[in-house]
Amino acid sequence: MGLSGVIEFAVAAAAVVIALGVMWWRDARGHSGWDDLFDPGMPELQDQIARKFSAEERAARSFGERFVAGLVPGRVQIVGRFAVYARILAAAAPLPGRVRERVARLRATFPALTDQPSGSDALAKLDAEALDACRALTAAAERVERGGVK
Amino acid sequence: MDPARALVGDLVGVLMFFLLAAIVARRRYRLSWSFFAYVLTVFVSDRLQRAVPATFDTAAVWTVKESLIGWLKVVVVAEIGLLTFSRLPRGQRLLWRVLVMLAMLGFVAMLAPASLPRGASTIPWVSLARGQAAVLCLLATVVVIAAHYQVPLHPFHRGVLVGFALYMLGYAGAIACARTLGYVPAYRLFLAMDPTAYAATVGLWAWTAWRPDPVPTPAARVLHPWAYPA
Repeated sequence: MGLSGVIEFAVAAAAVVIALGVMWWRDARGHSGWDDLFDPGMPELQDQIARKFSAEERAARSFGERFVAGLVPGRVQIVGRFAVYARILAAAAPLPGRVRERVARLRATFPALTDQPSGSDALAKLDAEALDACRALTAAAERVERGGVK
Repeated sequence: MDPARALVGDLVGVLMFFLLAAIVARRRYRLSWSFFAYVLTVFVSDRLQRAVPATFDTAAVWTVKESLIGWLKVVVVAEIGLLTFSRLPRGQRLLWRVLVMLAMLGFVAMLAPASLPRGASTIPWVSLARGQAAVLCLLATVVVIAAHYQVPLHPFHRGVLVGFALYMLGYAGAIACARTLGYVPAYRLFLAMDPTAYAATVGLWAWTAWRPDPVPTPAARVLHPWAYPA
């Protein structure tokens, strides 16, 4: 068969393994970011997130830095989902207002709250930016749904 | 024609008839016109080969048929990719650029030198093997880019791609055996392996075409309007 034949078969086998492996991996993950973005309950979920942030900010003012530190993992997880939405929405059209950069900055900035003495003020500021990013992402998803992208 | 080969060929013909019937009855042609063209081409050419072997069961005709079918596979994979990204123009443009680049690389790879199989052969084993590898790379590209953007594959498209992936890997392996063992002993082995693997693949496609689709997710309804017309 020769070296070229071995390479050809290896390339074919690798392509099949990659294709089937990726399909299996996607099936294992199940739910996709698009399912979240096009869920009819997304506006209500946004309101719930805003109310949750507001309640936790009030509690942070009372309980201090340790309470803020406890909120950081949850914030990082939420902003992590926003980063996924920003990545997949980029397949439709460029996102307005540099949303992707803002979400990436939030992912790096939220963990730093644990080291800040005025954590509750910083938390409120970052929460406001996160909610702005969420609204921008939802608006971009609505444009895809209406078919208004070029 | 060898009786065993004729029997397997007839089995494949029956399965392909069921597949064509499913594609028409379930209107799967709306999901991929090129796959419908591919199945029709294979069915007609196989029946001609069976009916008039003196004319159509020759190495030259087989080579032309395989070349045409190879290009149809490229079109099927490209159509599935472009339909998957039909509502996502940037992703579609990225996919198109990558597919064109890979197709050009595949064409250049066809020109690379290769060792020829032992014994005289009029069948272009090297081109066939490289063609399979090239189409499989295109297929993997569509799957990977769709996964990167979390765009769902339509269940029918997914079945088509899985069938192609498994069959073409087996086909590439059969070609590898032919090139290793030499033309005469390997050709009969190839003729035994290939129709059997293809029969299994056609059975998978027929099942995929007949079974009802699952309830579409919100993402599928928005991103695949061609599959769920209002």
